[in-house]
Amino acid sequence: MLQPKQNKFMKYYPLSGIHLSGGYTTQIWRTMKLTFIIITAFFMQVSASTLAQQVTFKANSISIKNVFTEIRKQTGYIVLYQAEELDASKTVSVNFDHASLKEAMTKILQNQELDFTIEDQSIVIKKKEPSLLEKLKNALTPSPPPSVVTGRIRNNIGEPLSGASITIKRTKEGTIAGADGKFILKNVDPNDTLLVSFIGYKTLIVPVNAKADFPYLIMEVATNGLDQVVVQAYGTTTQRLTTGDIGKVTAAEIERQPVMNPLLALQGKIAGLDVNQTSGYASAPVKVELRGRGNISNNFTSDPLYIIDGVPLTVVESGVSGNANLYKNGSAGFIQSGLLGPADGQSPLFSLNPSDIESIEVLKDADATAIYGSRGGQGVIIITTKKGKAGNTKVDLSFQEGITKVTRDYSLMNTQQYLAMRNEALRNDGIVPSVSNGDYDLLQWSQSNNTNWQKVLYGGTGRSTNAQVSLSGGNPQTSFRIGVGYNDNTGITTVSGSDQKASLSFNLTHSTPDHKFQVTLSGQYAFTQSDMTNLPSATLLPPNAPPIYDASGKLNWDAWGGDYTNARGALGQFGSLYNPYSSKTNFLNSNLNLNYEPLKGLNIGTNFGFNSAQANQTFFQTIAGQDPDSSPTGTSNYGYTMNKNWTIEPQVTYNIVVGKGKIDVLLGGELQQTRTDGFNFMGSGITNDILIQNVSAAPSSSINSMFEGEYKYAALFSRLSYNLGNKYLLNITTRRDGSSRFGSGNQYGNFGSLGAAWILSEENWFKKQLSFISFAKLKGSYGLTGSDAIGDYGYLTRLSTGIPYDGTVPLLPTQHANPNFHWSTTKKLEAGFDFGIFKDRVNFSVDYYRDRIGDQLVNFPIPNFTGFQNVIENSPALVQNSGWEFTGNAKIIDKKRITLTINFNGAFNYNKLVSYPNFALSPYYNTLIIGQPLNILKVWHLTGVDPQNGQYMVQDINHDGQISQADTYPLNLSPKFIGGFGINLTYQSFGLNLFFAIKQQTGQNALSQIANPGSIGNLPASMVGKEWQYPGDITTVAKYSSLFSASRTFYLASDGVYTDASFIRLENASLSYNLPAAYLAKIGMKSGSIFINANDLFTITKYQGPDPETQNFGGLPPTRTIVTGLKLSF
Amino acid sequence: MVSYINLNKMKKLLLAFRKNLGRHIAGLLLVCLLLPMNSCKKFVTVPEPINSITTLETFSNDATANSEIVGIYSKMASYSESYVNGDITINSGMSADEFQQFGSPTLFQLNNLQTADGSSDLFWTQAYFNIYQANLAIEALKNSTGVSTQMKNQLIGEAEFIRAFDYFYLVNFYGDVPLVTTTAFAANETLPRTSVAKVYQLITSDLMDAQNLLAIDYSVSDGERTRPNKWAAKALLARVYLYQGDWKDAEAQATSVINNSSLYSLTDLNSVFLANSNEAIWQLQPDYTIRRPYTTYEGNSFIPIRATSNPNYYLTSELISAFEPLDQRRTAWVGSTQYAGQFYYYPFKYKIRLGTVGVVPAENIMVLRLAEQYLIRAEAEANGAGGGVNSAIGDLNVIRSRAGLPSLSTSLTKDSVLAAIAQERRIELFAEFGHRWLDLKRTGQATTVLSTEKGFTVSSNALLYPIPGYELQTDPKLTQNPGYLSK
Repeated sequence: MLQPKQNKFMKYYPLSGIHLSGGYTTQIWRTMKLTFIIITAFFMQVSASTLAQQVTFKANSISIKNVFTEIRKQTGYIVLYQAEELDASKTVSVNFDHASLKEAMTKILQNQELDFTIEDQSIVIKKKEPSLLEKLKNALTPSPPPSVVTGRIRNNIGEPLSGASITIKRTKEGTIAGADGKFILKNVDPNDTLLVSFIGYKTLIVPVNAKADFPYLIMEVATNGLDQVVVQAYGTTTQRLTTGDIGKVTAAEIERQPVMNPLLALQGKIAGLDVNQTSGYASAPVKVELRGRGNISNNFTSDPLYIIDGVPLTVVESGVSGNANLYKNGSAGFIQSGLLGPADGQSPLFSLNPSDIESIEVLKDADATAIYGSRGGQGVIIITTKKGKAGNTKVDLSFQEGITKVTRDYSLMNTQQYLAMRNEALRNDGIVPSVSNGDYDLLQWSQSNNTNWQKVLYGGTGRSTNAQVSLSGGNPQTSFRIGVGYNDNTGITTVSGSDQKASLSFNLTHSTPDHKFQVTLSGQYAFTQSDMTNLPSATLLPPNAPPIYDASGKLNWDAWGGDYTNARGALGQFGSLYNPYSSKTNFLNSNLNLNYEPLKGLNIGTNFGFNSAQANQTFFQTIAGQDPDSSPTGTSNYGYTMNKNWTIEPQVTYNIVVGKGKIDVLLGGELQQTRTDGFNFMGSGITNDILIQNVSAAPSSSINSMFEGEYKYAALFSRLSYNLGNKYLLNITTRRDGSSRFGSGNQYGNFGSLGAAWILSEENWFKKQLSFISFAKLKGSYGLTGSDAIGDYGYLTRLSTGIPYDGTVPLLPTQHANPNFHWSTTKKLEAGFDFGIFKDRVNFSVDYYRDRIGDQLVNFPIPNFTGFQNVIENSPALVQNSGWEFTGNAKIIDKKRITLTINFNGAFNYNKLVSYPNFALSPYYNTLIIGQPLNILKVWHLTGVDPQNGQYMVQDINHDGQISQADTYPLNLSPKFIGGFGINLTYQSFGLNLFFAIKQQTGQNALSQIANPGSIGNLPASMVGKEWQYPGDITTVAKYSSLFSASRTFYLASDGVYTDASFIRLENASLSYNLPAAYLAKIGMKSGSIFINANDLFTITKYQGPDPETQNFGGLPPTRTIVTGLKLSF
Repeated sequence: MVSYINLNKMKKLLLAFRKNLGRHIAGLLLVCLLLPMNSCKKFVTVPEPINSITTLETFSNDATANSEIVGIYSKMASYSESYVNGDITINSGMSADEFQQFGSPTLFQLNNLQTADGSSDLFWTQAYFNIYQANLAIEALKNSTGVSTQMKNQLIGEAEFIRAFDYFYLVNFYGDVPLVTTTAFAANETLPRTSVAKVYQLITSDLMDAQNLLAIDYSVSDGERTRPNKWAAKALLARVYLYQGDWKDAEAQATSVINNSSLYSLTDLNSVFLANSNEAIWQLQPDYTIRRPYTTYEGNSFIPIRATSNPNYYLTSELISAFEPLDQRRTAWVGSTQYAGQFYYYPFKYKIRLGTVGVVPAENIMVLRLAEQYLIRAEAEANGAGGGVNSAIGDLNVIRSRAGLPSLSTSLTKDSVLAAIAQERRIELFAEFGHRWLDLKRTGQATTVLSTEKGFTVSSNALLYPIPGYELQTDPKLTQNPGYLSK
């Protein structure tokens, strides 16, 4: 029998530990030990008075129930009992004065044939165990074998574990527990051992010992990685038992990162998941790609399906025909009004508070994703929010504050170097600098100014603030959680700008006393506001350009150009600093789940989901930001996006134990409807900036772009899982989907998968021969998934309005219509091997996968002379992504005072275009190669600079004496390897977490983004002195020239502008210190810690440019954030 | 008592209901589950979008069918995306020897376009979009039952006119081009190039057909000369015949336009480019509601911001010196500005640099005008059509006298007359719809004249613009013009 824990601090201050040797250290050690003893003694005192596991209570003839209530009030312990065994209405008389819990309970239960145990948070009452004498007597007089055993299974907070399975170890036969946790098991031998298992809990081993009833089987939550709960499609599983491939990121890992968008917390964490920040704005779209590019067309995003608490997040992409290169930039998300804004959209997941997230699961293979049918083709990301737990009401507080700065500057020429370069270029061209030749930088600007434009544009320091409060608690019947958060990131640009988020989340779970009916309501609401300005692409301005502002703080037109329009034009781009952009979004995701268990093992439920996103944008083009010479007027732009999405998902699950196996059946349906409306309107001709926000002051207004999409979706799905003795696992899923995005006759498609696993380590021969391997599993799956991500109404011919002409509103065709396209299908094959050694202290898994994507839905590129440059079609291309992924973790040190764990993951993906019928007649003939990856670029090989004329030379690969298309070779721009590794170290109260992201890739360098070297525009400092000057010079940089030369065309399409963009980045570092619990207890707190979190502390790379990840020079670069904070719980 | 019993009954009922609550809910949930089971079409059928209408609906009545054709002019007159509004004039003017951009020279000016540069691609893309719109109308109207015959004729006529107009510029800029006459993308996407002569056949037949279908006045656009009529089709056809050396037909078409003096007459030099001037055969009305400058792109680009600032484009000294002394066009149509101690001249046919939002512009984009018809007829006559050389001199003198120039002698030889016509075209039609560029090309003088004037060798390859790289990439049957890379 357990003693009530009198002192929790014993755990943290053990009296034995690492013994250090040597006289001096021994001395210190002795002193420390003494100090510990004193402190511990003190804390024990403190705890005795504060933790109140003592009861002071006096009453006559009071019902036992009321006594328990009082005990709960005073100690926080709940009392579990069964009505049949204890008559709670029975009265007792009590008189406790600082009685210990144990004393009090003994007193209350005296004269009853009852006993109790005190667990973590509860007191369990059960029938008195027979005494030794009685046991002896029982043993001597054989009782009839208890062929039927009954029992009740609960977790340590008293919730019944419906669906837990109970098996007889000997016969492997068993049953499952009903809604109230009760079970009846037949054919049990008195000497049998029962195994009780439930997803997410440690397996309970119960010797029967001739007992017939086990009313107090309490299961403990699993703490090892293999047995923790993993969320899967429409249910939960564990890494041990799943037949699919599911990656998981926990709340703890997410919390350590100072990011506003939870997607960014996934960077490098999941093998095969490539997450890219598209720009430095916190709200910017994030490009997410799982296991390589699957679509030959670059007009569709690579995003997986996102599901938040069971509700799919469907944002209809309006950019399909307009905004090319969505593949590269990711979805514009909540911004579907046609007014994109400086960050080119807004990531939908930006509206989710990372602190509300319990876990993010990434479903990768067919076994895991096929049940999402049509939409699982690019993987599924399931986001689960935090729930309340039975127990004392708990308040969690966290506050953090820090700074953001640009990670690095890219070194450019100074004024002296720049002017020398310009003069040399003009000399080379035989041009005397003149005004009419446009040489204002040499003739009209000061020759001594020297400005680092990167500093001017984004040299500021941003602030990052994050405050979170949550309240949670409840009892086995009802639990709740409410979370409130505020997050603010101010920009690093020199003009104001910030991304703010205020969020509220709630979760309520209630079940009837018999636990047969359960209802869960959860919701997340967030308001975000992003204020920004379009950054002038001015990083490459000549360093001698005059200051932007004049003495009065206005744009410095006179100094820049005077009457010279081109020079004035160069200043014109700074006008954007006067043009404020703001986007405000409201996002609500809500979910109501009803579940009823009429019969043991049968659950009928329905999930009702609703989410809505709303974005309001304003963008004002002020008069102050424009050249006064152009008699400017102001324009105000307003953008609106409304996205509403509801789903109904009825489901029936049935689990039953048949013989030695356990069968889980899931049948379900889904109805979904999404509507997106987006438009922007503009008021123009405003004559005074004061009126800029008043659109009614605009002499003219117009609606510029209007988007409207309606999407309906219906599905039926099923899953059959069979588990034979936790050794052989089989999983079959099917799904039939219908989507409104297809023309009549093509709306329905069928999908499905088959997965199987064999846990070798459960075999007896394995246990005997290879006992050091604690876990070994072989698994494999094959299945079909698909995609309908093509936007709405692609099958309809459509005409839409345009700019009025001569008083008539015109109608303009908007697309080629194709009524014939149908579902795309992805065939996924996967095989994996998981194993754990040294009692699962080291776990490793390796997976091979092969995805074949056929019938791809593409925005097929067709020549403009047909009227439009693309049409939605099923591409005949077959694309394959295959590769290896590995994930592992190891507990290197696992001592009480010090622990060290490492984790790592990596993925090699090989992408290739497998086949393409009639390839020579396809639009991809000039850009792609069968057998090569999709992300190739055909480039010429730069061989250097011709010593005779100073022009770039490329290699004549086919030696025909001419440079042509035939001389190009494919350069693969897909990452070759992505991965990451983390180190987690705890030493006493200190914790240190480091996470490194690794990527091996080739990418575009900064040299591709500079102006023609010699014309107006600054160049990288690395070019200084490297240019060709005289015949015979052997150089790497061509002759400077202000004129465009054909050799530059070759250069820009050569491998000279691509470099190794591989990097190892310290993505995240976090140092924390747990405050002494005793001290906290004194002020009524449960736990507390202080911490420092940082991201992007350093990057090791050979990349030529500011950042190997964004590969963008001129836009807002990624930033480094360092925050310090405090976390308290009471 | 009754109420008591009822209450009791209700209580019982309620109790029974509560007892069976689970079962009720289960039933409800089962119904929910069964809903999608009969996965019939309605679950995945969405209403048609509200912000657009289908082709069938568009061509079901006069008003929306008319709107589709108006869509073509709306595109053409757009400030931001129209090669007709400014780009033809400015870019091909620089390809020729008319003017230069202030500041660094453009690739047009250097006759050094690159496939990858893409600066000439918009001619192609926009011309073909106009053609798509025209093809859509022609196809749909022929099958439409809801549109009145009168409207049908007018709209088909306009669509054919537009198709001819856009193909005219396509063949002149690019040479052989794909001949697209339907909207069926599947049939069109792998078309090869069609010879210039064959494209001219379509242009000619379209314009002949259009003449018969189009109105003889401007009633369709309420008297505004903003939509083509029979005479616009004739005027364009006259030009098409001239380019093909069909002097007789060119003369005939031009004559019928010139003879319609009730509609068309030469006006004072300063009023030529005004909206609905008597000289205008077809104009486009610039957008004045949405985008600055609410006037013609050319007026906005050519006229300097203020008297002391530099021009964006300035006329070449060769063009300035080509004006005869006393030519009133030199003062009426050429502006000047002094910047950094030097005089610059710029085209000043359009006088308005900036219009006012919401106010109907006083100047329209002049696409076809009467003066060109005199010059077409003169050239046809000089080559033997109609009244011959003498008539040619007469037509030339009509233009010269308006410009305040003395009449040419009637004793000139054919060659001198042709030279005089070329000179008159250069001056009368300068900075207007690429006339100079196309005239140099069709008369075979481009490489010699341009090489002399520009001071560098202009290759004959540069006389055709490169086929856009995207088109070559998407249609493997398409070939690039000589001298250009395929990407």
